[in-house]
Amino acid sequence: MSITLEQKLSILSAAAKYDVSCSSSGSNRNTPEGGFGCGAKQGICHSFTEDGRCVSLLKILLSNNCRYDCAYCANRRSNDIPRATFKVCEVVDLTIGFYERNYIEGLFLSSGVILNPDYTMEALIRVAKTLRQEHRFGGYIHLKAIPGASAELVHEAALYADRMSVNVELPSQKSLLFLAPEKNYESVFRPMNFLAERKTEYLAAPKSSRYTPRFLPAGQSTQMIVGATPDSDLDILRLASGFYRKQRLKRVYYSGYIPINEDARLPVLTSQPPLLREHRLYQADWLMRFYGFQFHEIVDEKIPNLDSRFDPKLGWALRHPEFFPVDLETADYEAILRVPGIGVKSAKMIVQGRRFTAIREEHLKKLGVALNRARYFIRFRGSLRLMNQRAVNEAVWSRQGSLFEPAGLLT
Amino acid sequence: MNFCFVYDGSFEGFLTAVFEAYRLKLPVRSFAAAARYSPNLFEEHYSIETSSEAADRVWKRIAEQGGEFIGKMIFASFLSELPDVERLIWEYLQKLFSEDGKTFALNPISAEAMPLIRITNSVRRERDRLHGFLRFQKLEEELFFAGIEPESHIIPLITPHFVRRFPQFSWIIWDINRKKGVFFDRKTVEEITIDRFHLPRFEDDFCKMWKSYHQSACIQERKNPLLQRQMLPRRYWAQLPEKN
Repeated sequence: MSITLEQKLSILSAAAKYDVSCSSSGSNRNTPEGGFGCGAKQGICHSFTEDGRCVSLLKILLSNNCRYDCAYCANRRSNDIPRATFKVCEVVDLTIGFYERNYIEGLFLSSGVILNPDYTMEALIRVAKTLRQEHRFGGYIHLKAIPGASAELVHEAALYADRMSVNVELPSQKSLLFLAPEKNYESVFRPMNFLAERKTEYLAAPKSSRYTPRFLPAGQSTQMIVGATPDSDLDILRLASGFYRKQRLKRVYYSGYIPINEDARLPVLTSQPPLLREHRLYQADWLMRFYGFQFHEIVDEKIPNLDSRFDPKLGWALRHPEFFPVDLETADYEAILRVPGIGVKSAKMIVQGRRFTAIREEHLKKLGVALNRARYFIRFRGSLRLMNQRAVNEAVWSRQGSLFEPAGLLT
Repeated sequence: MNFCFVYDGSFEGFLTAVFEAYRLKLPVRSFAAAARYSPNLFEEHYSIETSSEAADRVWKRIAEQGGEFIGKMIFASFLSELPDVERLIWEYLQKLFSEDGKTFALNPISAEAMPLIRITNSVRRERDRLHGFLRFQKLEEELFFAGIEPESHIIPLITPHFVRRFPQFSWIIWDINRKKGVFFDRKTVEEITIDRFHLPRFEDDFCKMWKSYHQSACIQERKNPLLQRQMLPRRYWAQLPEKN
C-alpha cells in the first residue's frame, strides 16, 4: 500500500508539533547569487494555528520510525501509530513550494532515530545540502543535532543550517535517565558544547573573504519539558541560565507537558498541560535575557518555584521594598527596567526623553507603561504616590492572571 | 480664515504642500489628499500641484534636521493614511524646522513626537505582519500574484523585502481596496493601477497541502482561538488560504 505525499506530510508534521521552537530569527543570510530566499534578522511569523502558536517554519520530521522508547514522546517505538518516512526530494520540493508562496520562512527538520544517530544525521544533512547547493536556497534552515551523532556530521550540518538544536528534554539528568533510558546528558551536551566551541572559533578567526560561509548564524536553541517530572522551577531556570552563559544559546524553550502516553512513570493522561507554569517560566526567561536578572534573584532554595499568582518581576519587587521607589528623573536605565509595568521600550524612551522634558503621568500613559502596576514603585516630579504596602497588596490581588503571552513568540 | 491645502495624495504631493505653506506664509491648518477631501464652509482650500523639486527640498531639510531616522518615521506615519495624520506631521515639521529643531528631533516624548511614534509603530507592525501574511499564488510558471487588504498603504514598505527574497520570478502585489499595486519583472519594480482588476484565485496541490499542514500542526490540548485572533487578526483572513 502506498502512501501519498499529503498523508506523509500530515503524519510527520503532527509528529513534529510538540517541538515548540518556531523562531526564524537571528540570521540575515543574503539571497544567493542566481537563487532565491533570504534570512530576516528579526524573524517572521507566517501564520498562527488555532492553539495561538506561530507558524514560521515548515516543521516536520524526516521520519517517525524511531528506535528509541522515550516515555514522554508520541513517536516512541512501543506506540502503535502510523509511521512514515520522507524521501529527501520530497522534503526539498515541499520546502520550495511553500517558500515560493510565502507560506513559510524555511524548514525545521528533525527526525526520529532511524537505524542509528549517524545515519539519521546524514539524511538531514542531505536535505539541507540539496536545498543550499542545487536550488541556491537562502531561506532559514533549522536542523536537529541528533544526540549521539559524530562530531564531523554535526559540524557539516552546521555549515548549511542557520540554527541547530539539541533538546535537553528534561531539567535534570536523573529525570532524563528515568524517562528516556536510551539518552543521557552526555549525549546532549557533547554536540551542544562542540557547536558552541566551533562557533566561538569561527567568530574569533579573521574572515578570509566575504564569501566565507558564516557558521550557524542563528546559533543554537534547546527545549525542555515542564511538568512531567518533579523538577522545580529553580532546577529549570538554573539549567537555562547556564545554557545562556556557557553554551551561548539563543533560546531555551519550555514545553508544558501534554500527556500523550499512558505510562506509570508519567502524570495521568487526563491531567491538564501546565500552561500557567510554562507562561511564568517564559516570563522569568525574558527577565534573564532582556531585563538583567540573574536566575537566583527570581527563584532560590527558599522559594524554589515561581508564584502562580503574579509574574516574577512583580514577585521580585515585592520581596525587595528597599529598592523602591525608583526615581524616574535620576535612576539608571537598569533600575527603571526593574519596575513592574515598565518594559524595555518605555524604559529607553524615559531615559532618552527625560533630558528634554520632566516626566509626567501623561507621558507614562502614552508610552504604554502599565501605571496600575508601576505607580507603587516609582517617583517622578509631581508624583506624591510613594510605595505603600497596603496599596501594593491590593494591586497584586486585584489584577493577576490575564497576562497571557504566547509561548511561541519570535525573537 | 483657515486654509486647507489639497494635494494629489502622494508623499511627494504632501511635501510640496508643506513647501508651499512655507513659501506662501499662510496659516495652514490642515492638508488633505484630493481623493479624501470634502469641502468645508469654514476653511478655504487651495490645490497644490506636485513638484518633485519642492518635495526634494523639504525632504532634504528633514534629513538635515532630524536624520534618516526621522525621515523614515514621517514617511511611515504618512502611509497610515489616517484622517488627521497630515496635521500631526505638519505640527511636527514646524517644530523640526524651527531654530532648535535639531534638539527637538532627539526628544521622543514631546507632544508632537509621541503621536507620530505611535502611528509609525502601528504601520511598522502591519508591515512586519504582511511580510508573513502575504500569500502568493502561482499563476503560471514564474509568475506569482498576491492580493492584500492592509489598513495602511503598506506596499512601498513591503516591496523591498520581496524584491530581495524573490528575485528569480515575476510577481504582482496588489492592494485590493486601494486598487494599486506593484509589478516586479525580475529587474525593476513598476507601479500599476487598474480600476477593474479580476482577482485570480485558485488552489494548487501546495495550497491544499499547506491547509492540511496548518491543521495538523495545531496541538488540540492547547487550543486557544482568542490568542490566535489576537496574533492573526480577522481582517487578514480573507486572503489566507489556510483560513478559507
